[in-house]
Parts: sequence; structure tokens; C-alpha cells
Amino acid sequence: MRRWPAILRPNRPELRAAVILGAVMVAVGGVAILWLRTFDIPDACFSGRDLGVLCIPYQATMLAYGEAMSTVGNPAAIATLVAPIVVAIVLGIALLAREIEQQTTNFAWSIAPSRATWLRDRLIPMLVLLLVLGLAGGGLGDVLMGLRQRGVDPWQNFEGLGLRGPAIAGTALLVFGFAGLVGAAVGRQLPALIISGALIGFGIYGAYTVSDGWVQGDAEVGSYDQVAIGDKILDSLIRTPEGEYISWEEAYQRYGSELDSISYEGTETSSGLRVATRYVPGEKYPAAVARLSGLLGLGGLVAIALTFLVVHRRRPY
Amino acid sequence: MTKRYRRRYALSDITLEIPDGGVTALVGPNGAGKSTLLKLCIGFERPTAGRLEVNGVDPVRHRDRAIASIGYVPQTASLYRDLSVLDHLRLAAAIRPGFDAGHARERLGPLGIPVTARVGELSGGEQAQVCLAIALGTRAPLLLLDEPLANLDPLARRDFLRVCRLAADDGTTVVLSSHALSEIEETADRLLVLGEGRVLYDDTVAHSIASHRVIEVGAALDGVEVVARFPGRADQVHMLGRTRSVTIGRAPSLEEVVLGYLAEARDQAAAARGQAPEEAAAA
Repeated sequence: MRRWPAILRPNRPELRAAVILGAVMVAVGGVAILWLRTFDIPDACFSGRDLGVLCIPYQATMLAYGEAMSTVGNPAAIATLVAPIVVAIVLGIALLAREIEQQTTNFAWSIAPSRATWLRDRLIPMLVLLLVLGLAGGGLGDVLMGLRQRGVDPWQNFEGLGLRGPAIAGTALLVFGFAGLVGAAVGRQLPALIISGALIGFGIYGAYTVSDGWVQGDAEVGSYDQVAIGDKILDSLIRTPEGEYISWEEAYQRYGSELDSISYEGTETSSGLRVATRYVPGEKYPAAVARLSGLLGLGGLVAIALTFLVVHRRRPY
Repeated sequence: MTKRYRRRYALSDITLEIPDGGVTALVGPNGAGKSTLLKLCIGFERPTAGRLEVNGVDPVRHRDRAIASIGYVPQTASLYRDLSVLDHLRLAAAIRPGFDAGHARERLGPLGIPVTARVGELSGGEQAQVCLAIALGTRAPLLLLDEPLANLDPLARRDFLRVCRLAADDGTTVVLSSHALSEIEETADRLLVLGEGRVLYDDTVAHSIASHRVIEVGAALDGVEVVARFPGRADQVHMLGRTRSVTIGRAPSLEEVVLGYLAEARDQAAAARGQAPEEAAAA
């Protein structure tokens, strides 16, 4: 058991900082959640539908809740997103770029018979820490989302897809992997930070683009009033009397001013035109977030695998 | 074996064998390829052409096995500045199977280097000593020491070389690259001179001294083969001659043997450029 502290000793400052930052993140998120839960307001009052007799006595409390959400809840949610990513990039850069820049790899790689084992032994604890932080941050983000949109299950809600839940752990893994890989290849901290920052941006954009394509594959078409809070609205369409779904632009070309009288309530016009919505139901969220998290995490794992290759081949200086 | 960095040849088609045991002094001017040779041995560099083996192991193909048999002290002490000496020993023990931290501490104790001191607080010489202690702690049969004497004061140098000698006497093969020729003369068993990427000279120290004489310019040569003229102290110029005859000139120091062969390489390079040896020497 004394082996791990010795191996991780060169990274103790950033690991300590990561643990402290993680603790602060949990504390901030936890306090925000506890405070927001002290507001005694029926969930129904947040649905936007029943603001009648039931909710009138809570109007002042709801205003205070909204204020608390914007001053404490939202910043706490941002903290749960940012903290794991900051930790990931710091650990990723420290993993190799700093070692190579300061030439301590000269020492370590001349002592350790296997560079792969040396890297693995330092990677695993960092990965575990990152995953714990990412999952904790993502979990807090989910709870905060549940408090932001009360009455909606955050796991049935596409709002904030990728900015909370297990996607935070996936993003942290991707950031760590890219920072480590670029650090290994470049061997200098500042250039590695800049280059990996750009690559991480592309990586996350790519993962979101692919994920968005998958999400669109889950889309359904229905009337506007079928769409619930938490569903992801993709498009507004027109259903023709023949049952065909067409865009508004095409509908205007075909039916002209008749569309001016169309209702969003789901009723048909005299000639049978009806507003329809292409949307992804909230129940598809778990699959969507699992795919996005997996994609981000996979990107991180591929980067880590490439890091082993670079470390195997490169000079220690 | 050849090692080329872009267009510059660090080692050019060399063939050499360093025998087991003893202390081999690897000498030559800056850029001669000494550090490159040691880095090739430990797998930090790959040959551009040819191959090498360390204790029968190709460090390119089986770097893990090669490193397991090597203790290495780099040219600049590449230690973690914020870690203590003890942290380094623990780290080495954690990443190197069989690392003998006790042996390393035994080495540091008499030097008065506190194991609790942060490396950043130690002098360059003390850091070199820590590196040597860790290299010794590996209990490797081969020690590669890349100009470790550069940062040491004269007393520390003597102590460092004494430890190298003791290690060699215990059966460890020590390869020591250095510019401190006068000091390694007593320690080294073998002399390997590199220059311009080539092996200029390779022999035992005892034979190197016994088979050469320093002759004053103008003295009768009596058929002695002159290696080269080389600069002596106070603007004197001497000649290094290959002979075992003790009646000609005087016995050289190890430094003079090295200077003679470096001068020979310089003259050959000058001749290749169509320059007279005197012009090359003046340059």
C-alpha cells in the first residue's frame, strides 16, 4: 500500500488541489440543493399550467425561489460542470507535459523498466479521482436541474444534455485524455495547454454533433400539445390533410394565407392543415446521455491509448 | 552503428565493444557522441543504422529488459526539485523491482546529504551524488554515468570516483563519460576516445600509457610512429608517439594520450578539407 503514495508523490500538489476543489464543489452544490429544498412550494406550481388557487399563496415564495436559483443554484450548477473539467486538464498536463519539460522523465524512465507500467500506475488513480469527481459533479448537476425545473424528472429531461449527469465524467475523461496525449507529444506545458484546449474544443463539438444526430434518430412527430416539459423540440412542421409532414416554408408555398389562421392548440384548419412538432420524448434522455457520455469517454480512452504509444516511442527530454 | 540527428552525425558507423567489469572512461570533446552513445544504450535514442546490445539485449526491441540491467546518471540531475531525497528513494523503490533503497542510503549517509532535504535545496554536486546513489540502489550490473563529475567540487569528484571504483571492484561494469581526464586516470581501466562521431581510440588505460611516449618537437624519432602533435602547457607543442621504448621521450599522462588522438582526428579532418595540420591547429 505504500507504493501508491510514492508513485503519486510527484503529483501530490495537483491531486490535493483536485480533492480540495472536489470537496468545495460538493459543498457548494450540496448547500445550494439543501437551501433550494427549503422552499416549500408545490411542484405543480412550476408546471406553468395550474397557477390558479393552489399557487397564488406561493407567488412571493416562488419569486424568492427564482432569485435563489439564479444567484446560488445556477452558479452551483456551473461549478459542478467546471470543477471536474479544470481538474482534468490540470492532471492531464501534469501527467506528462510537466515531467518532460522538467526532464524528470529522464530520471523516472531510466529507473522504471517499463514506461507503460510507470504511466499506468499514475494514470489509474487519476482516472478514478476524475471519474468520482465527474460523477459527483454530474449527479449534483442532475439534482440542481431537478430543482430548476421542478416536477420534471431530470432523467426525463433533455434540458442541459451534456452539461450534467454522467456526461460530465465523460467530458472530464476526454479532457484528461487529450491533455495527456498532447502533453506527451509536445512535452511542454504551455503549448500543450493551448493545443489540447483547441483539440478538446473540436473533440467535444464532434461528440455533440454525433450525439445530436443520434438524438434526432429518436424523434417523433406529434401535435404541439403532446410535447411535455423535458422533451427536446427539434422542429415545427405542418401536417397536410394527406398525412404528410412538411416544413412551414413549403406549407406557405402550397397553402399560402390559409396558414395565418392555423392554431397551435392542435385543431385543424378548414382544409385539414394542422401544426405538428418533431420532438424527442424525455424518456429517451437516459439513452441519449448514455450514448453521449460513452462517446466522450471513448474519445478520452482512445487518447489515453495513444498516449501509451507516444510514451513508448518518444525521448524523455 | 550510426546515429544521425537530421544532417548531423552524432555517431558515424562505429563498431565497439565494452567488456564486462571495470571502469571504462568515455572521453572526447563536446559533441563527440558520448552522451548519445549512453542514451542509445538505455534506449532513450534509437540508432539510425546498425544495432547495439546491452548485456545481450537490444535496447530498441527490449528496452524494458535493457533498462532492468542499467543504472543511469544523466548529464543534468533530472530529479524532482520539490521532492525530498527520501521521496526519490521511495519512488525508485516503487517503480523499480528490486531497488535497494538501503544501499542508496548507505551511499548518501557519509556524504552528509540529509534524506529529508528537498532536492531543490541541494547543490548541483549533491544532486549528482543523489543520482549516483539511486543508480547504485538499482543494483544493476551496468552503470552508465553521463558526465557526472561536471558539477562536483574536487573532493566530491574523488569521492564519486572512489565509489565508481568500489562498484567496479564488486563486479559492476561502469561506463563513465567525462572531461576530467586527470582525475579519471586513477579510476578507469579502459579508455574509449570518441571524436567527430568516430571511435578514435580504444584500449586499456595501462596499455595506453605503456604504449605511447610524449616526444618534444625536434627530438629524434628513431622510427617512432607519430600519432599527432598536440598542445602542451605554456604554449609548448608535443608529439604523441606510438612506441613501448622507454628511452624515447617520457611516459604520457592519460590526458596526453587523449589529446594526441584528438589532435590526430583534427589533422585527418583538416587533410580531408585540404588544410595543412598546422593550419588546423592554429584554427
